[in-house]
Formats: sequence, structure tokens, C-alpha cells
Amino acid sequence: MAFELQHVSTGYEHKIISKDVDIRIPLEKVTALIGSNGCGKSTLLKTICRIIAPKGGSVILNGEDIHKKDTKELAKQLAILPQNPMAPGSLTVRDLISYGRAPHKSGILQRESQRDRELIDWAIDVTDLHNFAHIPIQNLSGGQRQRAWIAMAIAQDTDILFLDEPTSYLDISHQMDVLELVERLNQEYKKTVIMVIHELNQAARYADHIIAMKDGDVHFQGTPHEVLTEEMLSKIFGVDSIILNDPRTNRPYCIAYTHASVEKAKQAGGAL
Amino acid sequence: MHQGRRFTLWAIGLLIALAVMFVIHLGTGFSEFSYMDLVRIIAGYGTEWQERIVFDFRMVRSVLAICIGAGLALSGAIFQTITRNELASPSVLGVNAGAGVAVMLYIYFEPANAITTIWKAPLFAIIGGGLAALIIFRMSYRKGRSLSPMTLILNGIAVSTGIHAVQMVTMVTLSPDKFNQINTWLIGTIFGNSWNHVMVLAPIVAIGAIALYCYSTKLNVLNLNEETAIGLGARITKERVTFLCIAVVVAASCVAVGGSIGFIGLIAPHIARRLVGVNHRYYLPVTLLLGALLLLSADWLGQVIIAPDEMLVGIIVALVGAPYFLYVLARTRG
Repeated sequence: MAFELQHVSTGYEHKIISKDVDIRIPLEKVTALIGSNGCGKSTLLKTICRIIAPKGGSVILNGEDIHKKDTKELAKQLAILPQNPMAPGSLTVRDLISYGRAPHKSGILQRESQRDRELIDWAIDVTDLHNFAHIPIQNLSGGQRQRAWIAMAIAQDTDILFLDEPTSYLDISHQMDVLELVERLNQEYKKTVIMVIHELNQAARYADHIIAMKDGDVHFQGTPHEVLTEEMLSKIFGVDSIILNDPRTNRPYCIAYTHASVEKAKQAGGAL
Repeated sequence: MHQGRRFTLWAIGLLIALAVMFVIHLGTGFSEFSYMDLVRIIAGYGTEWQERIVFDFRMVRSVLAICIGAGLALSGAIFQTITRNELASPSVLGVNAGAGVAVMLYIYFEPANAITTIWKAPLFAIIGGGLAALIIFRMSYRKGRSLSPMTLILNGIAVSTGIHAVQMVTMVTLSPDKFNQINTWLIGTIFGNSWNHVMVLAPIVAIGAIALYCYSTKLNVLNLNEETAIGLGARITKERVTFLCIAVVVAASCVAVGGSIGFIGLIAPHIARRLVGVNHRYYLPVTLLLGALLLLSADWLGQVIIAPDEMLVGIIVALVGAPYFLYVLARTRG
């Protein structure tokens, strides 16, 4: 079982960003999409999770094209945390999290069921938001707010979770918070996580599968050891680097040494 | 459940306030009744003339004020949710103007006093309000892109201005009688209606309110940004159009009976949000109660402020509403 993109082309109105992309995203694993700014990773993520309809090709989950499925049914399988989620500031944390139950509601009065309450409480528990449950989200810090949004997404109780840059704007400690949570969701609850992330060492540390993109095309995909290489860094980011292995996690990490163009300029004897 | 408790308290408080205001409103008018008299008349022991005053003049007016206030407030709340903009309301989005001009043209082409034909005015108002809304939405729609709340509001203001111009041109050619009739109605007044108006308006507002309350989960989701809403399974365009239609029908029907009363649809949802937050399960009922209370109070104020003369309720609402609108505007920018 896997998420499969077959000959997918995608983009906005008149602009094609990715053409003929074929990738396979393993289920019950953490997958990271990496690449330089504007390389199309967010666009591709939005296409995989049905926010953008592809211009060609298909996105297949469990043998079905997701862009042909009912969106409410899909919302029981896929949860999405967009890059800049927005809600009215006076909404309380618990109410926001309860919105995650929306796809599971049916009938006329749509009261909170026992199952709804359990999942909301569980989401508050996992994201450690007990003390903030009745506080408006506008009064939260960036890290707390991000946790509240993640809590909403996991209260949706889906097997697959899409996160678009879940760590941006957070300091290092809150970044680790979010990534530890991702790891826990994957390992304890067998959730498939597909995320766009900028920090390469975090991608290598927390993802099982990495997809590296440049100019809309997928250039590398595989395990962190397969993808996080000097060749990849130079080709995708134009950066000269050294790759080492972290003995504590047995994952690779990179030390960026210099921008390749700077090195070239030096060799050519040019002044900056 | 802090919020649930707050909601219960406010809902009960507002219900009591509404009941009190209803009695005060019923006791106000040209003929003086003591509250004892009032009770006696309502219980059926008054003279025929007294009963006629209390039931056919005053109570009709009170009940209509409640229906119109509730309806305008509710549709304002829906407009604010689907455009995700605090400044949206039926009047800003051209529904009042569209409904107004439709009813006006209807009066213009009908023989004198035709506005008393009960169901025709609401029908024309719905068509006019719906058309205005349709034009505004068509103008704001860009292929392959989602509806932008800001464009929607700017187009609404532009179209309303155009419609007002048409109104002006038509009005100056009217006979003095019709001019007075239309002018009174345009400013907004609840006086001079019958139980038949209640029979037309009350079911529309009630059905709209119940339908919207049942959809509060969907409305909550539409209040988030689009990508998040899609992730939660919302069929965005379809749902927006559905809710918009309900809001237009309710607002236009209210305008047809009460005239172009603005601001209620702006103020009531705004205060309601401050009281109980943005979860529609709490927010919609409180908006409805507040709208009813505000218009009922404004109508009472209009009757007593320069008694024995009467000020049109539309003017009272505008006097309170305009500064409030500016206040919201200033807050939104800052």
C-alpha cells in the first residue's frame, strides 16, 4: 500500500510548475519533501492532498484516484495542516480542535458524540494543551498555536497527515517539540506523515523517506542515507557540504560548507 | 465547558430582556394603557376597540420587529462567515439595495397602495436582492480561483451605489403620494403591517434559522481559511452558494416588510461574537436574539423619543449603527 503519483502535472492557472511527476510515498512512514524555495514542493503537497487538482495524471491511494473521490469521505482518510492556517482569533483551543471532527458528523443536530469527545481529549493530551483548552487562540504563542492546529488535524482521526512546513516560524525547541510529536504519531499510532520541511538535518533525523525537488522535478527519493548526499546538496541547493553520520540516531547529517558559486569564484581567482 | 456556560447565561439573559422589551413595546403607543389593562386585554377581557389596538396594531408590530431584527441579524452573521469579513452584511453586499429597488419599481408600476399586497413585495424583494447578490458574485468570480472576500465587498459597495442612483432617478419622477410611501419604506418602518405580513415573514425567518443552526458545523469550517476547510471535507463553493441563498432570501424578505433597515445585520453578529465567541452553535442563537432585541428596542425608542410624533425605526438604527460601523472599521484596520 502506498500513495502513488502517476505522471502528475500540476501548477496554478496558466503556470505549470511540475510536469510528469512519478513518485511513491510509503504508508505508515514519515516522508519529507525537501528542496529550495519556490521549487514546487508545497504545490506538489497540495496536489497530493487534493487542495489543487492536477493538470494531468493521477494521485492514487489504495487503488483509487483521490481527485475523483468525495471530498468529505477523503477528509476521514487525510488530514491537512496548511502552511498558514487561519481561524478567527477569538476561537478557543478546544473549539478549534473540535472542528477536526467535522468530517465525521452526520445527521441534523450534530451534537458532540462520545467518540468525538474522546478524540478531542486525546488530541489535547498528545499535544499537551490541557492548560490552554479554553483560551482564545490569539492569546497563544507561535509554538502553542502550531500545536493547537496539529491537535485539530489529529482529532480528525485520519491515517494520513499532511503538514506543510510545520516548523516554520518556530524556535529550535518548539521545532523539536513538533517533530517529536510527528515521530510519536507515526510510531505509536502508525500514522503516515507527509511533510514539507526546510531544515535538512531534521528531515534526515525524523523522516524515513525523503523526496528532493528542484524546479518542479523530483530528482532524488529514498531513505535519508540514499538522499542526503553531497551530490544531492550540490545539485539541488548548489551547496558544497560534508555529510556525516550521527552515531546516536544512525542518521546522516550535513554541514554546509560554502555555496558552490562562491567556491567557483574563488577558484577562478575572482574577488567578491 | 466555559463557553457552553457563558452561552447559556447570555441566552437566558437575552430571552428575559426580549420578553421585557416585548411587554414595554406592547404598552407603548398613542392610547395609554396601564400594564394591568394590558394583561386584561391580552386575556380577552378588553373592549373590541382595545383588542384591535393591542393585537392588530401593536402586537403585529412587536412580532414583526422581532422577526425582522432576527432575520437581518442572522443573514448578517452568515454573510460575515462566508466572506470571513466582519464588515459584511446584507446592506454592504447590495441585498438591501437590490431588494429595495425591486420593490420600488414594483410600486412604481402598480396602482397606488399596491405595497399592501402581502406576498408580492417579498417576492420582488427576493428576486431583486438575489439578482444584486448574483451580479456581485459574478463580478467577484475569477475562473479557477476562489472567491475573494475583499473583492466581494468592494463590488457590493459599487453595485449598491449604482442601484441607489437608479433609485434616485426613479424617485424624482414619482407622484408626491407614492414618493412618501416609498421614502418611508426605504428608510425603514415596521408600522402599518398586518398579521398577514407575519404569516409570510415568520416562517421564512424560522425555517432559515433552523436550517442554519443545523449546519453550524459546516459554517464553523467555512470560517477557517480555504485550504484548512477543504482538508476538513468542505465542498467550499457549493456550501457558500447554499448559505448565501438562504441569507439572501431571509434578508430580502425582511427588507420587503420592514424596508431598508441597515446595520442590524452588522451590529448584532458583532456583539454576539464578543459575548460568546465564533462557534456557530453558540453564536447563531445569540445573534438572532440580539437582532430581535435591538430592533424591538429601536422601534420602541422611535415611538417615545419625540412623542407624540414618531421617528422611523430606520433612522434610529442608522443613528446607532453608523458610529458602530465606523468603530468596527477602525478596529479592523488597527
